[in-house]
Amino acid sequence: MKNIKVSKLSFTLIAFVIIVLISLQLLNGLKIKNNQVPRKSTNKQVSYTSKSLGVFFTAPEIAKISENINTITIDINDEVIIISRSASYYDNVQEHVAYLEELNNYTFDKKEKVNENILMTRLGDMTMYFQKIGDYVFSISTDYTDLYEDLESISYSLK
Amino acid sequence: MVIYSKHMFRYLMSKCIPYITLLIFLLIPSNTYAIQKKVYQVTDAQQLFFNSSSQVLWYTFVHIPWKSGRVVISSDPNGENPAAIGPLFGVYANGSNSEKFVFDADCGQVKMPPLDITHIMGPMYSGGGGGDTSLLIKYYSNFCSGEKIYVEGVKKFVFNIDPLYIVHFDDFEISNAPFLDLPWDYESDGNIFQEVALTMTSYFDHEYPLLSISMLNEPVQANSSIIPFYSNKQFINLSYTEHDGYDFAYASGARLGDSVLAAAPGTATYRYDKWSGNAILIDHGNGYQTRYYHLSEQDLVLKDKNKSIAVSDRQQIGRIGFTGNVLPVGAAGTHIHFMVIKDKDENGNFDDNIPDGLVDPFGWQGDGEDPWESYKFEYNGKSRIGAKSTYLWKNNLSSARKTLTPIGASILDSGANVTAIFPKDAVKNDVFLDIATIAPIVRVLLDDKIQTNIRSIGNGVKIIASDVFGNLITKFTKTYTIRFALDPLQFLRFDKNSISIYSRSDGAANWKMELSTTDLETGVVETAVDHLTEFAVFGKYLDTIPPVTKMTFESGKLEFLTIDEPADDSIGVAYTYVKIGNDDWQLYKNPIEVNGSDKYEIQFYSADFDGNVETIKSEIINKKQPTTSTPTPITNSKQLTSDNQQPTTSTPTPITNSKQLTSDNQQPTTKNKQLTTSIPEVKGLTTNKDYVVKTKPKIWLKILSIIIIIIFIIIVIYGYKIKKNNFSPLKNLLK
Repeated sequence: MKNIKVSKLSFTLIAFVIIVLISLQLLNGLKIKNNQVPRKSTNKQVSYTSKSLGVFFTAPEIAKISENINTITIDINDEVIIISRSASYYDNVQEHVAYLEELNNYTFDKKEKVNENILMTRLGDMTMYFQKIGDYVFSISTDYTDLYEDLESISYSLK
Repeated sequence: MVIYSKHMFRYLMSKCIPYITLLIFLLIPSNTYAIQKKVYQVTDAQQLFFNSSSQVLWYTFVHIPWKSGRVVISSDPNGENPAAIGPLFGVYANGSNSEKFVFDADCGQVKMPPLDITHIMGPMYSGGGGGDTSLLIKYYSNFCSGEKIYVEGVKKFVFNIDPLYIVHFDDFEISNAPFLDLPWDYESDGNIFQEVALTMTSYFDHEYPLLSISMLNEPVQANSSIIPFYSNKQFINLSYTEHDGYDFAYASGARLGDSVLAAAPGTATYRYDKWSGNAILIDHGNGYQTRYYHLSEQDLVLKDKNKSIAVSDRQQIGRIGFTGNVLPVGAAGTHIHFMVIKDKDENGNFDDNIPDGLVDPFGWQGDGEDPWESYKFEYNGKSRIGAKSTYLWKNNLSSARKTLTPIGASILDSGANVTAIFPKDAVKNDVFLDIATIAPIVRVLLDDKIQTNIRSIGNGVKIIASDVFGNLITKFTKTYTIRFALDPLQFLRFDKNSISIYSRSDGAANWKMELSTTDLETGVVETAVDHLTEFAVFGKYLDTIPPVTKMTFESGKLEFLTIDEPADDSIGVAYTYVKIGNDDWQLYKNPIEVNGSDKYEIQFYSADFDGNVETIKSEIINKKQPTTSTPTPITNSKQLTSDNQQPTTSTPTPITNSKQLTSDNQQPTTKNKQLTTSIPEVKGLTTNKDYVVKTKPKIWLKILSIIIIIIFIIIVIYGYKIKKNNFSPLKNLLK
């Protein structure tokens, strides 16, 4: 009689653990599925002022924006755009980018002058906008092709 | 079962104790030590003339603060080369009758090899007791005649001696406590640390800072990117791969010709090469060295590669330039390259810690492990690993920046206990406020005159406002309130009617009084202003006059009477110090009986409780006659006192902090009553003074270790006995 009770209890426990595991797996699956749905484009933008980098820009309303030391991270559906800042010796952004290429031992695949202060570059999957503001050059970059539109719009709004 | 458990426990303990002991040893925080070389120059090369009336050709005293470490006398600052010393050389610790070392050079025929005098260092020549040591260095003729030369037609006998240095290889505990400030004068531009610390043009590359070593290259996956201190992500858009320090340039306010300042006190040396240009290297005496590259030719604190010099905190050591290898080439590439090296192998030499001792003064603030700290590589036939970076700036990087919106705000600076209360619409758009506490103002300048009777009450505050584009804002559209909440007890020594808030605009020297209200009961002082930048509370101090001490000498007893004027405002005399002849300074309490020789020099001074310190006075007493001489104020005695040519020891200077001198008349205002002892100034002597030498490992750690070892031995013996009796806990358990 006692043995039967133990078996029942063990069975109940094992069943409970299996149910919990299956539930977690299902939830995870739903989450993955949800991420696979393309983000609906939204025109609604919000403005953001960075205290640490002293800049202003607009980003999609759904973006989660956080600031670290000398870096702003814009998270849009778990894909990120990063803004970073560096002081520059140069008066124009083209020279600054050439300086980076020389010191960091690479050549951008593509360099496209957007205007006097903005240069769009590409290296592998990474797209990067360099923008000269005062004595600093800000770079706005992403590895995610989904975010190219947002990247462009954020770069243009950066002041 | 209980017995079996007991035996089992003993058995297990006997097996485990060695491992437990080892574990405890590993867990005990080990103190690390480094060696700092401190060089004292005794003499330059010189000619010593033989004087038939005295065997002593030349002598000098050198005072060495010493606690531990090897001390060597040699002809070079590295303590390695022999020295020509004439016929006979002697070095005496703490006076000519104490421990000594004498070298006979056979009438100058041989040179003296580098001489290790560690065994005579320390007080009472204890050879390890620790403490400051005065070394008497003497050159003797030893009845040798020397080389014959003619000086202005007169025949003289001369001995040529080499330069002589005392080299102290001071061993001390490495400290990772923050100690650095930024290496240029950012404050005079009205900036605060948090504003400019992150305005670098180039970062320290945590993956990997190998720039200084041309033979070493980064792995391919790291050679086009950097990892800055705040992220473990590889950046290709930051400057620049392999960089081993920080570059600060125009954007930081570090412009061509601006002052480069010592980031902390230490011993500076000079170096030049085609990469670094003019470089100053400062050993901070705590296991860290800072380097400042590309300095201009102007105003270098030192330009002799073979010398070193003591530099104080924020002392100018050069000017920002573009010497060496800079990009962009020429003046456009003006910047200061600042790097920090840790003496990982603790041998006092920093060059052999490049690159593995290179550290980032911002520490490592990224997620996970610092890639540099765990990077293993071979260099110069030695396996190496990158260094751990700890945050070394004295100032906190997290900004004291606050945002003021058109809604208004009440912003507190807790350091000065100041609140700035901004009403609605004081600003039209968001404004950043950088608030910093400033120390009490020592030299109060009003209308271009230093006001010796006006002093700061508590700390002050500095507020800098800027818009989102970095433009400075100095005025607001509406007035706002600056409120100091002080302790009413702080007003006690001030004229109550004189207490007011004063302000100073950015970069100005003069302060201006603001119309203020003062609540003497609550300690609140406030004013309404529409401008910035610095604010402090000042008042007229009641007593700024130092006391006057008079000495009498009667019946063999010295007595001192001190009067602190004006009597109405005085709160009394704090202390009187007296120095009799060559004795140490002593606190005067009761009349002093003077014994011994007939003639003495007596020095004395007093201070009142308001921190006013009297200038040292000196009188000569003659035991045969009552003294009638007029006191002679002196500041520092270093002259020979009498015909017997014995140099005096130095006198303590009655100041506690040189920064707290209030005015041109050098009246100290500090309330700190501690005395510091000055180091004798011997001509041609270079001393390195500003070091805090830490003590060796704590005694309790040693005791704990010994106790553990004893327990271990007892248990091993006991365990052996159990084994000898053929006892097996396992067998017993299975019985």
